[in-house]
Amino acid sequence: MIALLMFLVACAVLLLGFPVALTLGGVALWFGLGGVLAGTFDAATLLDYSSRLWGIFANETLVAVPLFIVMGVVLEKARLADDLLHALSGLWGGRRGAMGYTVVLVGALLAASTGIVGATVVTLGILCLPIMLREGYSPALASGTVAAAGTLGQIIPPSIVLVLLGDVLSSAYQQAQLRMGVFSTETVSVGDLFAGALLPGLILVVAYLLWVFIAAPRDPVPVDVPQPQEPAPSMGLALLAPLGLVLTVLGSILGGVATPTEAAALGAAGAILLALVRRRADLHTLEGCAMKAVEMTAMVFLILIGAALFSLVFNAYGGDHTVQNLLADLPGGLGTALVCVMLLVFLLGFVLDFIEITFVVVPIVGPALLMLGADPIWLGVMLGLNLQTSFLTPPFGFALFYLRGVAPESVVTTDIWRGALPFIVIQIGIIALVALVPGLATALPQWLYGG
Amino acid sequence: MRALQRGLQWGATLNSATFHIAAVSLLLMVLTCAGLVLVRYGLGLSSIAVQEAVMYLHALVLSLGLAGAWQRDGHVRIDIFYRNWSAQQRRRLNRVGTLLLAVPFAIFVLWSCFDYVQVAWQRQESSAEPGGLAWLWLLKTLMLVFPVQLLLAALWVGWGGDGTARTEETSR
Repeated sequence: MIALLMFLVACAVLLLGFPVALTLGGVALWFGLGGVLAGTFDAATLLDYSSRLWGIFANETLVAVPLFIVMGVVLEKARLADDLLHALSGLWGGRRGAMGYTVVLVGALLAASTGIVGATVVTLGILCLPIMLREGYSPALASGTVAAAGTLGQIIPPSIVLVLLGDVLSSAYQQAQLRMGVFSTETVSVGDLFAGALLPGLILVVAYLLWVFIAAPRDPVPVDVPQPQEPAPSMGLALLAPLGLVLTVLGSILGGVATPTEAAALGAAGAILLALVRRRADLHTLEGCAMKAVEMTAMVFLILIGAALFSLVFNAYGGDHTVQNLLADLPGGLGTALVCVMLLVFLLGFVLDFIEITFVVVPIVGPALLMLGADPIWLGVMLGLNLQTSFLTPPFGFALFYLRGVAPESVVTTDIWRGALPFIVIQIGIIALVALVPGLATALPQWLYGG
Repeated sequence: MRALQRGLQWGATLNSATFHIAAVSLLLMVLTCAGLVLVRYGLGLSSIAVQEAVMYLHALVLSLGLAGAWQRDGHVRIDIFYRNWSAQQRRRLNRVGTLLLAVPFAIFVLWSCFDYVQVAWQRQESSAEPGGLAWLWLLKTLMLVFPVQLLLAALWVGWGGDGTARTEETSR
């Protein structure tokens, strides 16, 4: 019970606005000291933290994180999005809702190559939102489409969310099997999750396109897409560069040629090469990219460092067993437990960041769900979709924040919220679909990697 | 008072310097890791030592950047209320948070890791793999370096700069 109290206190303190990572660590520390003074557990329990911390430093899966971040930051600097946009918008030429499809497709292509929400939303927002408004899209539909397209990077592999989820779930899976007395444990890898998320991600893109098709204005005003100042690369080159990167990264992982880390390194090196060849970056901009990437890496890892103490203390109070019993005692078994957890993650997504949810909530509920018989890949894909939704849920969805920052004054904030709503419904629909048809997530990894 | 300010500034500069080292390490990490893959599939060569070098660089990237990222206000906040607060309210929150949350946490990390690192030094711990690198003990020392850096950053964020930490232009 004290464990759950700690969770609530942490949430409350988080709202004050002190950096999340330090808040998690600080709150957990005070509760840990309280537990030691009250005699609930002894100080040696807290000393375990050192080996957990080293576990973070030496974690081979997480090496992929800074590499993927570099890839995303460099591609943003190389203005890949602009190129894609100009190349694709020519393709539809004046058809009904042309810009809407372009936005969704560019979002999907960028998703597969960078996976950084902020960059995608800002670029699409600056370049496409004004055009869509002039084409006659309602402000709500236009901004909703841009925000939703920007979040695709979270679920379409390779994505950082899936790397983090893969790491957390693989240890949760191991724990679940050990607790059930299975000692020849099976594993789940980041590659499995990538393969699992591919099909649901594509279904999501199709669903977005369908919604744009249904809701787009009946009589679009033809609008010329402004040409970039510098000569745009040809359509072929604009499409080939990102596709080449995607094929390299994703293909080498799914084909079993490279680990996600190696693929991420190839992707990052490829992105740097691309930026240099296109003369979109010199050594000075590369330094800027590296600094930005270090900042984002530090952000992720400090949360992990703080959350490690949080879960250590949470479990010292017996929180893991409390949650496990709570979920196991629900009538209806796995189904009800899954719905409850999904609902919890969805609600937490209104206030918390996907990284916090991944590092704090998933380690707590993951083993319990897996012990009830959930397939780890299936669970991971649904969690990924759910976390992606948190970028869209007002009032604190990041995609909405970014878009607000670049949207013209004529688009009011409630338009953005209203526009996001249908896409949130689509998200929930797809989560339900994957829940009902687990094969959507599990078939591809099974086919690729067998058993 | 002046000396104190200068001390805080010195700490902040040190943190920025290691932040730069982390950035260079990250670029090196990209090159090394990509090179490793290419050489392995191109020439069929592999090296435990180079593989471990990637791990070492990764550890440098993630630990040496932590404090500097805080000084750039790169650590994510739930800014529901924070972003509407005045500079003075933010300063107050940052000071209270620093004293009650960040400083105790950094001291705790130091306390809990001290023995762990000391043992690594005594044994001069090196790689468990044949052909691996011999400086594992040195790498583990990073677990004591970053909390000290966090303490310096905490003091700087609370009392050194304008006490608000930059938000608008730097956060995410």
